Amino acid sequence: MIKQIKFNFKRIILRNPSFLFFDILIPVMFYLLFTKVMSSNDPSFERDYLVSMMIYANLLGSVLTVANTLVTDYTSGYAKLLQVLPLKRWQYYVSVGSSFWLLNVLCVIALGVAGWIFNGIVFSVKLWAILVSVIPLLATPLMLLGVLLATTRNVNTVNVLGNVVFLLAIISGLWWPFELLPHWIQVLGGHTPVYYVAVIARELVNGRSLTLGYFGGIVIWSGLLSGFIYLSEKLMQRIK
Amino acid sequence: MKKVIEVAGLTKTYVQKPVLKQLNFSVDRGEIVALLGKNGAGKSTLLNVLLQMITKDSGKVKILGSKHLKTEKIGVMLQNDFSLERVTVKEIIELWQSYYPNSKDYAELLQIADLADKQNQFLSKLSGGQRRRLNFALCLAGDPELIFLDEPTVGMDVVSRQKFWQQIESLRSLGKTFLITSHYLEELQGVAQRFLILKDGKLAFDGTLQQLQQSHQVVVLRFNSQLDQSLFAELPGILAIEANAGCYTLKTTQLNECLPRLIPYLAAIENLSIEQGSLNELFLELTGGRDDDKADQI
Repeated sequence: MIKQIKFNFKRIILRNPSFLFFDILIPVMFYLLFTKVMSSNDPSFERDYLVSMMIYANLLGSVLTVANTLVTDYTSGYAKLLQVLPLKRWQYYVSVGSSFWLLNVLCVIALGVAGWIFNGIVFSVKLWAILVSVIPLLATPLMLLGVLLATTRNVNTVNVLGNVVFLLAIISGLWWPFELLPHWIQVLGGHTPVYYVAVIARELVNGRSLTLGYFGGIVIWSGLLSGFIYLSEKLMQRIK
Repeated sequence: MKKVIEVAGLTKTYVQKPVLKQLNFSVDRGEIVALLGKNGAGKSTLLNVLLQMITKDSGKVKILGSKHLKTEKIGVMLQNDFSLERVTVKEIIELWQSYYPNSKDYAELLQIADLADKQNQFLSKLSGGQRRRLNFALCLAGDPELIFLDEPTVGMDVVSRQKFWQQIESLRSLGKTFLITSHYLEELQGVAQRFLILKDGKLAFDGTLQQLQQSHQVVVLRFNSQLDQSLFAELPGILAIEANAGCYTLKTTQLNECLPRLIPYLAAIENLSIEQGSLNELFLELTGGRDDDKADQI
C-alpha cells in the first residue's frame, strides 16, 4: 500500500508539470491579480481572498486532476488490469486519493507562502495547522465530482465538462466577493458544496462560530455525488 | 487439483445477441491450450468472463478450483498493453512485485522483459515490442500457476518471439498452465498441446493438433489447365479456387470424392500435385473464415 501511494505520488504530482502550473501557479496569479486590482482598506479582504484561492486551488486539484488521472488510468488500460491483480479496488482509490489530498495540502502551503511574500499575510501556527488540515479535508467531497466526470471514460469529455469548476468558482464567490454577485446567482451559488467549504474555511480563519448547517450541506452533496457516480457507472456499462 | 479451468454450460449475451453459447471445456494443470477463432468468434469475451471482468449469463466457471478469482495465483497479459505516463520500467516492476507475497526476483523479471539497459526509461518511451515484453514479465511477477495470454507476440520482432516461446516452454516444464489466444498459428503449432476453436460462440473443436488434422483435413491440389474455372467450382468439398493464368490451386476437404470427378478432365490437366493443407487452412475451414473467401473467388 505504501509502495502504491509513493508510486502514485511520483507520477501524479512530483513528475507532473501541469499540476504545478494549473493547480498552483494559476491560483497564485489569480490571487496576486485580484488583490492588486481590487485593493481594499479592509484588512481581512486579502486574507479572505487568500482562503478563497486556496479553495479554488483545491477545487482544481480535486476535480480536474482527479478526473484526468482516473480517466487516463482507464484509457491507458491500467485500471482494467487492476481487476486481475491482488490489489483491491479500494486500495487503488485510497492510494490515488492520498496523492490528491497531498496535492491539496501543497496547494494550500504554496498559496499561504505567496500571501506572505506578496501581501505580508502572516498566519499563526494554529491557523496554518487549520488551513493545511481542514481545507483539503473539506475539499474531499469535491473529489467526488472529479470521480463523476471520470465515469465518462473519455478524456475529451472530461476536459469539456471540467469547465464546470470555473463556473462553480464564480458562482460560489471564490473569484469575486459573493455579495457583489446578482441575487439569482447568489441563490444558486449559495447551495453549492464549494460555497459551503469557502464559508466554513473563512469562519475558521477569522475565529467566527461555525455554521453547522453547511457541514450538513457538504454531507448531503457527498451523498448526492456518490449516487450520481453509481448511476453514471451503470449507464456507462449499459452503453458499453 | 488436476483441472485448473473448468467451464460448464457457459452462456453470455450482449444486447440480446448470444456471444457464448453453452461452452463446455476444461484445462488440466501443466497444459498449454490455444484458444482460436476468427474475429468476433467470442475469444475475448470468453477470456473476460474467465477473468471475471464481465459477468456470465449462465453456466459454471471455476479457476483453480474456485468460483472466485485467486488473483495472487494467476498472471494475465491482455491484448492491449497498458502504459502509464511518468513511470519507469524499474518502478513498475517493483510495484508489481509488491502486489504478491512470493514474487519473482527483480533481476529475473528484468531479464524476462529483456530491458536491463532500459530500467530507468519511462514506459511511454518504450517501443511496442518492448512494452509487450514488459507486460509479459509483469504477468509472471507473482510466479503464477495459471497464465492467460491474449495475443502475446503481437508487436514483437522475430527474435523476441522465439525467445518468448522458449520461455513458455521452460515455464511449462515447471508445471505452469497456459491459455493462449493468438493469430500466429504457426507459432502455436509447435507449442500448444490442445486447441480450442471457437466459431460463432460455440466450441467447434477441442483436441490436439493431430486430431484436428485427422478430422478436418484440408488438401491442396495444384495444377495447370486451360479449362474454365466454373468446371471445378462444383467439385465436392471445395473451399476455395485460385486461378492465375492457367495455374489452379484448389482446396478441398473431400479429396476422395473430388479426385474421381477430376478424371474426365485429366487430359487437360498438367503438373498435378496434392499436398496437405496448413494449420491456417484447417483454421479457416473450421471457423468459417473461408466462406467469405469462397464467395469472392467462385
